[in-house]
Amino acid sequence: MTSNDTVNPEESWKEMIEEFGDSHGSLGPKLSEFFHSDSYNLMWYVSWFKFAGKMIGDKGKALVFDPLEGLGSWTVACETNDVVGVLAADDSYEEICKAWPCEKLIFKKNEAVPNMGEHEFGGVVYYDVGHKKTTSEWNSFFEDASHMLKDGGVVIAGGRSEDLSLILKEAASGYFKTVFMFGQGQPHPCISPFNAVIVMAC
Amino acid sequence: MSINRAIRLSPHMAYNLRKDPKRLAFIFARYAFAAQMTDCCESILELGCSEGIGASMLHKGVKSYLGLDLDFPAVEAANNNFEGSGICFKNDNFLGLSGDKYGAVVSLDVIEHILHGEDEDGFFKTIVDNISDEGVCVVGTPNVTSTPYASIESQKGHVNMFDAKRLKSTFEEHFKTVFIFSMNDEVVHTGYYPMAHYLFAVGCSKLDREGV
Repeated sequence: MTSNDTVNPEESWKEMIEEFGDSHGSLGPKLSEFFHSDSYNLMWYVSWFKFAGKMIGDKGKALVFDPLEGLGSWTVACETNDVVGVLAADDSYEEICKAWPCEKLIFKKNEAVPNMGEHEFGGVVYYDVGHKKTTSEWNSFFEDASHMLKDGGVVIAGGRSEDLSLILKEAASGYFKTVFMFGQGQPHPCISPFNAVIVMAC
Repeated sequence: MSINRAIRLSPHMAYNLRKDPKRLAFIFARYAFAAQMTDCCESILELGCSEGIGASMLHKGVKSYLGLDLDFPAVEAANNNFEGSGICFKNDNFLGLSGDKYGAVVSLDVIEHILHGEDEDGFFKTIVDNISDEGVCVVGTPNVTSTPYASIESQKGHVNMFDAKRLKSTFEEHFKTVFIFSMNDEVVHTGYYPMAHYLFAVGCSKLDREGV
């Protein structure tokens, strides 16, 4: 992959840099790949994170797992208070911190998850972009989320595998009193985003 | 619910169907959203059911549904058209009602007709008094920003218009967790609230009288 700095040398962006500042560093490998060859899915993923941010709103600090190399954290943060992003195991912590130098965004390495505080968050978000989670992992996720959320908080999770609707509904119902389902298979003509299975529980 | 009789809509609804049929899709889409949000609830109370066209979506054939409305001819039409097992309509001024606790309270296109202040407080008190502790409340209302595009007739009746901020803050006086959704035509989304034609508030876990 060619570096953005080489393709767009600073001189040719001079006027723009004067107007908008210079924070256009190269994107990480996953985001770059999305822009190259999977922009439709990138569109959907950002839409999912926007949905999560809107649902969390001002309920409190948000926790976002696997935040798309920081873009998911930022998308959520635009609608919420501070966001803690737990990076995927293969994400570069240093590069992502450098790419998103915002006070509202805090990034944690993957192994930091067990140290999250009790009842600390107004929202917890996990989108299984890579279709990796098993049923038992989803159960663990909702159990953990129920401890991490403060009173009145909300968990938003989803993905796109075929059997996810039932798995998410059952798993969320085990730990939350109210469970809302959105997306694939819904009877409503259109609630956006609609191409995923998304569960919202509180 | 099994209906073996021909539906005869009220003159007002029949007129709207001829004049602007797409509006029917919008109305049903509002009910479809409320039905989706109350899917987990076993009993439904609808405040302002009009002639009951949303009852079958909310009831889904398995729930207990009670629709209340002040408009006698509308409730009569509802009973003629849609009354059935588990579905009941009553002509009643629901403000001040206090009785059974329902798993969900739904009220679409009602609150904008209720005066801000004492009446609005009474409306929310009615919701809280009739919803279970972990119940779900869905209220839908046109956005105040849609007012310039409303007919003169609508504007006359819409005496208490909400924007998203006031709808949310009002709900937060009564529910622990509140979500706001936008709607344009039949599409529900989370887009920029001031440009939404219609707003939904979904409240879960009611607060007690002291706001705890």
